[in-house]
Amino acid sequence: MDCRSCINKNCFINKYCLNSWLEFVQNFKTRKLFSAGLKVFSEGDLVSGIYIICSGKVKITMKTDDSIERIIRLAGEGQVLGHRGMSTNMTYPISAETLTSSELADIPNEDFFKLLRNNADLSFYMMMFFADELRRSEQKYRLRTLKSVNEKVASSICMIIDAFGYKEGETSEVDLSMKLSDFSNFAEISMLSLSNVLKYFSRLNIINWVDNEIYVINEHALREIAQTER
Amino acid sequence: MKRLCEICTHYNCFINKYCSPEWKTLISFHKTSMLYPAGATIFSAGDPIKGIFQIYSGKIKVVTIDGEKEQIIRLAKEEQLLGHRGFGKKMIYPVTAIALEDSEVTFIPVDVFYSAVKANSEFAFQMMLFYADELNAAEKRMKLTAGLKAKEKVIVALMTIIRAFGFSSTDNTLLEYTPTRKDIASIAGTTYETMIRALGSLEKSNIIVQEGKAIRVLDLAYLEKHCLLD
Repeated sequence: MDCRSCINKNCFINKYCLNSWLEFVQNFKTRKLFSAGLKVFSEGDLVSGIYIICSGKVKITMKTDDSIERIIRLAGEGQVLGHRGMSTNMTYPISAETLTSSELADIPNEDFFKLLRNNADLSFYMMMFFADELRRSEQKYRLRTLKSVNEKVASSICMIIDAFGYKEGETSEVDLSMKLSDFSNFAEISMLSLSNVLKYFSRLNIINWVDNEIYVINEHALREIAQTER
Repeated sequence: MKRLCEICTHYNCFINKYCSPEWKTLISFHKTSMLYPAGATIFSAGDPIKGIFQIYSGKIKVVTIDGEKEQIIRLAKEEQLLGHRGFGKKMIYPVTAIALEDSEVTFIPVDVFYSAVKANSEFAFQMMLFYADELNAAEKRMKLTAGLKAKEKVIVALMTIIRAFGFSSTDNTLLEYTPTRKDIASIAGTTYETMIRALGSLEKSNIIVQEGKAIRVLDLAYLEKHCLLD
């Protein structure tokens, strides 16, 4: 797909690169298709470029010292993938796996750096993006160590809404796109506690949990619970 | 006191390195400078972000406070940026910064900082890489610290202090700055007593010497080798 005729206006390349540079992107961008459940890259792999999610959904996992794969981020359409590899040693500290079938665009490192140096809006966006990622990441860490199960579940639902939004044409059904086991991994609690909390939230009329789908009734209340930090 | 970027001798400063002379003049015009005595708070978690700080002289600790517990997540000195955590969508400080010794800190309003980033592409690019490294360092810290033993944590803390402030210019085995024992425990993430015992054990093995408040390192190679977090 040529970036210039792409309809995904949320894509950061589309949004922040000058038109003349979009043309340049076409020359080195490669398109990759993945079906659901495939590894895009694994922890320790050499970083050769950066990915943009043209369509689909991806989970990013990191192995903790108890050798459990923890989901640390969810990414959807128009978002960057593999930016955690952009540091001094250029190997991935994380793995990425598709949740749904996805189309990714791959831009080699040197060309991406060229783009950044010549498109101030793009590097500004990436700077702010990293700043947000840093904040989110440290928040997620506190989530693991400090929060109650209610807070964990509420903030994970909020994070999923922020990453994937609601299902197309829906205003309340969360676009989960993952199994409950993945959800409990992301929220860092057991499956049993997760279903207990979801039932509890349903009783409070904050959400409606049916057939493993989550319908949000009161997003405000959910965010209130998620933000009762400390 | 007015600190002018045009005539500044802090050559590792990002602004000095990556901004054009015209922009340095403009930044100087908007920049303010404040003196903080040891122990003073520069900003607190929850405060709205109005700009970015930079340390002109002195030493600062960046902490997160959970109830009674204080965790030091960063030590910073002259030329370094301060308060970059929290930039992004929220623009609220997730951390608190406290002066360890009398410090002079400059401040650039957020709109001036943003314009400077957008107008100086190399500055933007380097800022992005800086955030990328911060993200990696933060995640490495979170990943490892949970599994470390007390002694390993204290070694990591000592190396953190050495990497931040180095050794005295007149005595090359004496730490340039030794934080209080309470602060060392906050860096290590252990209790005060555990940290004291670990320091004692390192002293017994002739790796360090405690000279009153100050710490002298006899075997830097040992600390480097056993520091599991780099």
